[in-house]
Amino acid sequence: MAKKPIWMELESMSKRKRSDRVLKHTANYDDFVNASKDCIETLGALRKSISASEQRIIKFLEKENQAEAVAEILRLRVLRIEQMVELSALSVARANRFYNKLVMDVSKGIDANVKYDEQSVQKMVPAELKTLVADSVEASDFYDILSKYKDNLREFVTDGGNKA
Amino acid sequence: MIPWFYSTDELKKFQNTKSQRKREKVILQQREYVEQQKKILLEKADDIKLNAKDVARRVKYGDKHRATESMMSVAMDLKNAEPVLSNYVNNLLLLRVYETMHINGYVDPSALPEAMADIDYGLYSLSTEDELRDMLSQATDPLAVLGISLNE
Repeated sequence: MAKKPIWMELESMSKRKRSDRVLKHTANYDDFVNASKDCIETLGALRKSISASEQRIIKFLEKENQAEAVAEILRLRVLRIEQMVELSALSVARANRFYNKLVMDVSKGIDANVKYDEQSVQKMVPAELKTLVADSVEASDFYDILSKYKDNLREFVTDGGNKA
Repeated sequence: MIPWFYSTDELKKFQNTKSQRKREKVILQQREYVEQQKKILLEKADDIKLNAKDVARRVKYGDKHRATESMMSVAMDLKNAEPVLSNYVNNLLLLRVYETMHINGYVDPSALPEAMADIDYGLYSLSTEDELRDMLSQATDPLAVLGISLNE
């Protein structure tokens, strides 16, 4: 059976029941705001560590120390994985935060005789919720810089045993 | 919606666990796994770095044979880290979703209103574990981005 749209579900409630539900969602909303803030703080710290690790790799390559550059790459991968997981966790927390806000806003609107439909509710979903990971991962120009050293790195990785 | 990850046995089990105390216990255990795996990865990174420094030193003094040995150790350690790395990401994903699910009022993405159906949940949105592995390799491995494979 298809799920009842949220605006329809809220419209069909008594004002008192709706008000109780808003109270519950307000508390949940605050919890998810805090969860999102924690994610953002973690992401800030990760971004700094990633940038430091990238700088170290570039520095090693400039000094023609390919072995240490490749070694640092493992550390960078761990950090990038943590960044992607945190971004994904943030998207789940944000979706929940938005859902609670949606219930609060639509309930308030219904109380003020605003008429909702599927389209108007759909328009309330921020575009940012739909483009999260792809945009943030492509943000760094580190890979462009690294491509300058591609031949040196390839030589080390594929021919490593014979280079010395 | 979230086809692969949300259908894993661990997650289903956690969803069905209603006791707060039991859930906290699961989270603590999961946190421990994640910390242990990260420790292994960082230790491996330290080992690789030591061998890499050794390579640089040997090359400087023209000690070809030992430099080659150290380089082999770097390459081997990098490859050996792969299984830990893929387990680390799975366990970290699981931990973060457990922690989020433990927040009061959590609603599963599949239970959210229809209007929110096309939200990007990042790694949680991928359809299969293979897709996750491919995406991680492309997005997190600088060597893979440059088209360089350790298996070549």
